[in-house]
Amino acid sequence: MASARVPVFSTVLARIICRNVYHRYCFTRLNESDAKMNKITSKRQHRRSIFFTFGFLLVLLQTMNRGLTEVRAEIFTNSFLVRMREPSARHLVDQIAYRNGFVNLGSVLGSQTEFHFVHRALPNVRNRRSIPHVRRLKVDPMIHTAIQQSGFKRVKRGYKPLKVDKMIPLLNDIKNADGDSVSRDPTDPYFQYQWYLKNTGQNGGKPKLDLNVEAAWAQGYTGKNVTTAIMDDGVDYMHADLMYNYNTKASYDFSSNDPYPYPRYTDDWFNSHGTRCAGEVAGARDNGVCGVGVAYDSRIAGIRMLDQPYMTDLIEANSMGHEPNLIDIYSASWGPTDDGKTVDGPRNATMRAIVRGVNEGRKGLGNIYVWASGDGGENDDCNCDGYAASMWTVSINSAINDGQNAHYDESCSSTLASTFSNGAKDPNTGVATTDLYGQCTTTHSGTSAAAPEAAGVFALALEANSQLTWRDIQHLTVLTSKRNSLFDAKGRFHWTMNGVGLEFNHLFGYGVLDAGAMVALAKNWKTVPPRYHCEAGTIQTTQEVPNHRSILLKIKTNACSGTEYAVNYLEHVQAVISLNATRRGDLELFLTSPMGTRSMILSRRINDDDQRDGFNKWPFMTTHTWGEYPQGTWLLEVSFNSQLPQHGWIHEFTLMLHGTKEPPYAGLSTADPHSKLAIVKKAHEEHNTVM
Amino acid sequence: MMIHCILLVSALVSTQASMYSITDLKPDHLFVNNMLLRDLIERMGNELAEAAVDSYVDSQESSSGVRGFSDKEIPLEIPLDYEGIDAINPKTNIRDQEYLQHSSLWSHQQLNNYKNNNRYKVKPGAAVKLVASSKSEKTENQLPAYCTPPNPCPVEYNGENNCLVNFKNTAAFSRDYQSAQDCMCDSEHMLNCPSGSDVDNNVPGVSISSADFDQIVERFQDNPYFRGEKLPIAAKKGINVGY
Repeated sequence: MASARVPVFSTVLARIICRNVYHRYCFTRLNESDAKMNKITSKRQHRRSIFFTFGFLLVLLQTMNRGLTEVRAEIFTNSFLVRMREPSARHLVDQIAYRNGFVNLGSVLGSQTEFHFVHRALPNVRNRRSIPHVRRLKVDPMIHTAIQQSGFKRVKRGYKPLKVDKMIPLLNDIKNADGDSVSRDPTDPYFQYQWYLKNTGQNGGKPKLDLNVEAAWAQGYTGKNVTTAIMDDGVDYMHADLMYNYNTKASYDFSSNDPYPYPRYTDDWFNSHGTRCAGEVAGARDNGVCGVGVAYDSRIAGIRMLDQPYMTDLIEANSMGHEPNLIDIYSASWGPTDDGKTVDGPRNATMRAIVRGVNEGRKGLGNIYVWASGDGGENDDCNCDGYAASMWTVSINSAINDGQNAHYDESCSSTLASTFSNGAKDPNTGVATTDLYGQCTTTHSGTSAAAPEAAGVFALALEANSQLTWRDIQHLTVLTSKRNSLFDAKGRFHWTMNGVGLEFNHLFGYGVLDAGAMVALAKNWKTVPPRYHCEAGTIQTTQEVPNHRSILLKIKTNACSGTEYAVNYLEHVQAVISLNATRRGDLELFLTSPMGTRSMILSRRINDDDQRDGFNKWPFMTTHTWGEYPQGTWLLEVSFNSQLPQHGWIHEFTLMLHGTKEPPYAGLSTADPHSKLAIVKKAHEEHNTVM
Repeated sequence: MMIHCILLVSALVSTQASMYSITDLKPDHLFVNNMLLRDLIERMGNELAEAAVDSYVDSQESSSGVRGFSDKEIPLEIPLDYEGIDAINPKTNIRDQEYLQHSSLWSHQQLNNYKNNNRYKVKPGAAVKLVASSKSEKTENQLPAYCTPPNPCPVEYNGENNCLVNFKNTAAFSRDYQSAQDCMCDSEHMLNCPSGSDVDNNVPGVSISSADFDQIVERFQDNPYFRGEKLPIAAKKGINVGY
């Protein structure tokens, strides 16, 4: 319990109200003293200089590697290796190239006979040989041979190649070759510790397991004109790394009821959390202070709302509804207690604020609410946290620097994707960011640290395409997140393909966010078709749940087909359930879609000994059936996972389907046939022809 | 009367205790606390009721959740929660808008509220009642706050914006700034809190003298956001996760 306070009168009140309140970054606290003592002073300049030298090269190589498709079919570029019959001077070769319609890019490795030609009229990549062009070169009397260069794949080790819109980063890199800042590493002193931005294997991490932000920066997107609000304990907006990216007009202090959300001092610097989250999103670049934010040109608003002895619905509601046209993204790293026995969610006014945010915020495009899934560990389930489980929030879980889930990760089927946080054995693998009073830290932690990273990535996507709706962001997240090398350290949850070929994991959702891929897809995105809501069916006869056997409830649905609000392509699915049991925490619930995707919508919570309240019309949400067709029979399995005999009763099961009538990606072009987008789109097209 | 009151409170306490699993608070403590709270709320009465922030919930009436009722494109028979769905329209679907009733957290919260269950009950189609109840939720009382941190002027702001121009971004500055205030000491995060002194006096028992009462009220900062329903499981960070 969080309320062990000295007997101040007011604390007595606080105690009544503030009984079990936790925050989601408790690890920071434990490391606090270490952090303070270990303020890193040595700058390790020698390492930096190496980064510098190779910075550009690395970026170029990475993007080139990504730029070339997987070699299923052979790919041909517009480059030709041309061998002269005899050694020739550069200017002569230029002329030969010119008269045949090519451009000579110079000799290959200093050779006098071999040169690199390109043909500007050819596409960068095509999958057939350009025979006429080759022939044209070959017939030139000065030329011995000409070979059209094929493209091939170089994957980052242990890394999935970028599969979206690959050519653009490559072009941008070429454009920026003259030392434009986006094509080299930031010079900020803490950048080397920000493995979540650029994982070079620091502290035993897995190289290339990162948010791939450099690919987004290289495309020119750094978050300009996007504001992210940090709903937390305040922001040190006088911090040199934040002050110029601070959006004063969009900020507010609800804990003190004034416009300035500067954090309150405590002896243990407890209220550093918001400042740390803010630095992850929008820490300035190349200013010599701390590290760099994911969207370093974006703006942050501070909303101070956690720093009072208790929480009220009004504070939450006003925070989430604050300046919805000035604020694009709201980042929240808090929620109901992660004690593994709480079932709670947004209250009346707060719920209204969120609904209003998604319907009307951002001038009708909808605010993006990013939520930390929780730090309750394997004994909690974030579907019991009504904030994280909401369809209107993007719930983000975390992985550590080698791809494992963090030990504190709270999993649930409503998690959409993951980013990175601390948890490896090496204590220096926390999240490096800004800290209170102008300081820097390397030990920001928990899923708290993961949510702002996602907010930063979304800020990049919103700069790439300011017309994205709140749903577009979720679709982009599903389509561009990567499995990468994420895995369950305990081997419980495996990566599974859903009915339309999207790979998901109960712990990580659709995988780790890939900023480069997301902005590339966002740029050419077409807003998804209208969303409809269908109540697919309901079972309201009470049934007993016995101890040793699963209860199966089936709902057969046509998903409102034939009505004007038919749902043919799923986004979110909710199973609204009323249920009592002799021990709520021993219940397990699975929902299986007509296409066979089985989601664990409630896992065992060993600490939840509730025997009275159960669940009352609680919406268990799953994102795992994204893109699937909902028509058919849905199956709910209710069972106990318990040593002791238990029994219960299920009173209600209502299935709510949310999604589109039209295929959501019909208007999008798929340059890469192996991208997730192409796979889903193809599935949808085939489905349509069958129907 | 007093006996009734005690019975009522103890009933409430036991319900509360079992619902939220307050294992570390002794029931008798809670009992006293609740008495105190109720006494206080009654005394404070309605003077705090006209919250400056009421506009928030008021403004909601025209939007989101209740919007369907005024918008002709949307079927009028939209129920406010799942209870009404079957009775009225088995397939309630609204085009491309998000509706509150898609989350029954709403009804869950209402039904599980330990106080005045009937007041919070939402009945299908009862838009007016709904709004009324959400209003009354905010009028209960106001609770204490910690010290107010300094408000330094952000870039391009100056003294005219009611912010602090002469400011040093250091822990010492904030500490000194706050130590000049008479506010509730945050014992969880401060090394030294004035132990007891002006504090214990205010917890004499169930009854509070008028003088003490004024003192307590003074201590409540005038922050309208502090009014309304206190969330039994709130969202404030803590340090107690056992890792």
